[in-house]
Amino acid sequence: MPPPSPPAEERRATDPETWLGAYGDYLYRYALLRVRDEAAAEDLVQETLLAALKGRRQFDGQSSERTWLTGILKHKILDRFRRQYREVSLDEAGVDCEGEEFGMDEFFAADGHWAVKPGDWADPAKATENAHFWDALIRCLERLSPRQRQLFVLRELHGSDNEEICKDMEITATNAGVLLYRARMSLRQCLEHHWFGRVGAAEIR
Amino acid sequence: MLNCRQTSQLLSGSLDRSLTLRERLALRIHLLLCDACARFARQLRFLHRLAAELEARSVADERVKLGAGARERIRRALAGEK
Repeated sequence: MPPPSPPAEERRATDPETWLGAYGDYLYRYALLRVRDEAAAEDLVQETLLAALKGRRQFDGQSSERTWLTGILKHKILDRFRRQYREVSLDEAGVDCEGEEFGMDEFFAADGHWAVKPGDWADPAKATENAHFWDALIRCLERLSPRQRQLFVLRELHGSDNEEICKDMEITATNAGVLLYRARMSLRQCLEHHWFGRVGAAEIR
Repeated sequence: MLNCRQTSQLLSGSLDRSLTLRERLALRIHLLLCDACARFARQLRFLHRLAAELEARSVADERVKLGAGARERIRRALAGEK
């Protein structure tokens, strides 16, 4: 690869010493939302800034410095997910991808009917106006199995499409579909229990 | 005829890929006849739309800050690399 032409003076990344102060909290929050582990989020911020320091000359000024750093962080998170995906215990792997097919689950009876029909969420858009709703959503995300959460984060937060997810995580489209399905089913049920159920509904009013 | 479990699987799939004509038709028929799945479909779409706002709120959440210890550790690591 030919070396990139030196960027114009005004497009060069600012002094790395300012990054931590200017973007540290932002990058930390971005990482924490995705990995739900404070120590891991701190490590990711460090890895990101170190990588940025090394690759400083590649910053082309086409995007903002924060966007550039966030892009590096996004890749670091993906690397971490890929490593972790292979490390989860056999027990959990069994739960998550038994034969990679949609198997039996607790949501439906044997004949395919709802075990418990979805409840009435009234006006869910209204819930989003309540700050506690978002805390409940994050708690529900934390309850997902690591693999389900990883896939959910990649699809819904990173915005990766199916093809990218399969390539990045080295899994089949069926497996990705099953994990996303279970993540969504569990999140929906968790929010119904912990928010849209009676207690939550009373809190919204 | 789809059952409710198959319907929920197709609805989740429709958020990630384009369904075939056959799948879309089967889905539409089931949703016309089944209130529970129609409700589920609305809830699933609602969850799907939450992601962008969750992101925006989380990165702006003043309660969440990089701790002083971590900040110092990272500052030293950066200084060591220069």
